[in-house]
Amino acid sequence: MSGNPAAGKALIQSYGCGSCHVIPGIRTARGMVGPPLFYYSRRTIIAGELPNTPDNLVRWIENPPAIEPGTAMPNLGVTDSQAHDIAAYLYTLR
Amino acid sequence: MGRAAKFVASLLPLFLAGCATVQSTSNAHGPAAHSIARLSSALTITFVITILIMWALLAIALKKNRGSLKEHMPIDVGGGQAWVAIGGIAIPFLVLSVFFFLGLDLLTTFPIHGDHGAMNMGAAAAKSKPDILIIGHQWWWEVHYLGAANQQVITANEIHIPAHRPVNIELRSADVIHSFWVPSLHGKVDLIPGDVNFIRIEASQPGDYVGQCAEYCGSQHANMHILLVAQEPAAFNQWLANQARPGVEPTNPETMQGQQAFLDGPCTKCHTVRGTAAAGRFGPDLTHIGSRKEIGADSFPNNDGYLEGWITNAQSLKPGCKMPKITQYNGTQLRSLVAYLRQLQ
Repeated sequence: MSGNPAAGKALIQSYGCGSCHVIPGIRTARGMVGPPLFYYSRRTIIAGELPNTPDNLVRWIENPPAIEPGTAMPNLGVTDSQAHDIAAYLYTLR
Repeated sequence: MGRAAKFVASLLPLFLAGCATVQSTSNAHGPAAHSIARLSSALTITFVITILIMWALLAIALKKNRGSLKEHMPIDVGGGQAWVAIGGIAIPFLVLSVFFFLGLDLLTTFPIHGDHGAMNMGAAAAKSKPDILIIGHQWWWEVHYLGAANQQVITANEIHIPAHRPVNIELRSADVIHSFWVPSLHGKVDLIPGDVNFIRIEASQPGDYVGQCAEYCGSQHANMHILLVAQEPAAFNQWLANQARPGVEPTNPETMQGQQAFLDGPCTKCHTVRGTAAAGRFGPDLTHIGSRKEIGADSFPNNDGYLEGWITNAQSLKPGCKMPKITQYNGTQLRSLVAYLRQLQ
């Protein structure tokens, strides 16, 4: 995984992922809209349909509606390198 | 990094969070705040010096050691009345009198008054026609611009003022007692149900000034923030003219679908978007929500992520707030709703 977890943590805060997800290690991330992201590296499936691989996670973060058109998870305009950073942080959640 | 250094580093964002200026009385950016800062630093210095003198006198008294209990010698307790008269009465009377008049002077220079005050205060209130009306709600600020009669400008939580000149603000409350406080600009003034208070504030330079409710008002009191934006007069007038316009009509299929979801859903029961059928008055006016920097009484950045989380489950972000969970929209509707609100610039 090429991303930088510390940068990912800051991006998670600025994009507001925590307004929908509870994310360990991020104090303000206490949203109760989508699933909590506990133990993210141990999950096997993303969005109920994709294998949890780094490439798939990056694709999902960058543009969720492209993978699942009906999802409430918005396209936040996350760039490719930012998505790698965010994924790197999520994979620290063992 | 050591543990202590890490702890200190983790506290830094608390002081630097979000905005340009630090929320502190000593970080003064207006004449009223400068006077308050001057008075409080004069008080602090005077009291520190007084305490040092008292400690020195105590040390001298201990050192002097007039007699000893061990040696059964009589202890000399005579004298010292002059110390009490001068040090205990005369000097404190002088020092406190000076601060009393300095404090009075501050009150008259920067009038803070209500229509419940003394007669001359009521007259002063009538003379200073308010430019802005702020109504405190649990837990947000409703802001009316009273300038031109033909303009209807109502916004929330983000208060714009022109810099370099005094602005008169009328303060009311819709429910419980709140207190309006932007420490860099002025002192605290309460918003009292059934009563009216006035405050005159002035920002000496443009900038974003943060503040918050300073009177406990319920579960989300601590998150009842204020963002006060002081602008150059030309920029302020431009902002005001834009805020007077009705909500921007959607132009693409997604934002049109979002507007439909907004108008068909429960949003209109509490929120207004001027130019549409949405005319609820219980929550903040959303006519120009897209132009605001923050949401949830300046608790979260105003972006797609935070806004969608706020719409669907504000209760998980600010437990106890008056915005209910909204569970009737599907994912596509939610995303389009956010797109519609964000284009209300």
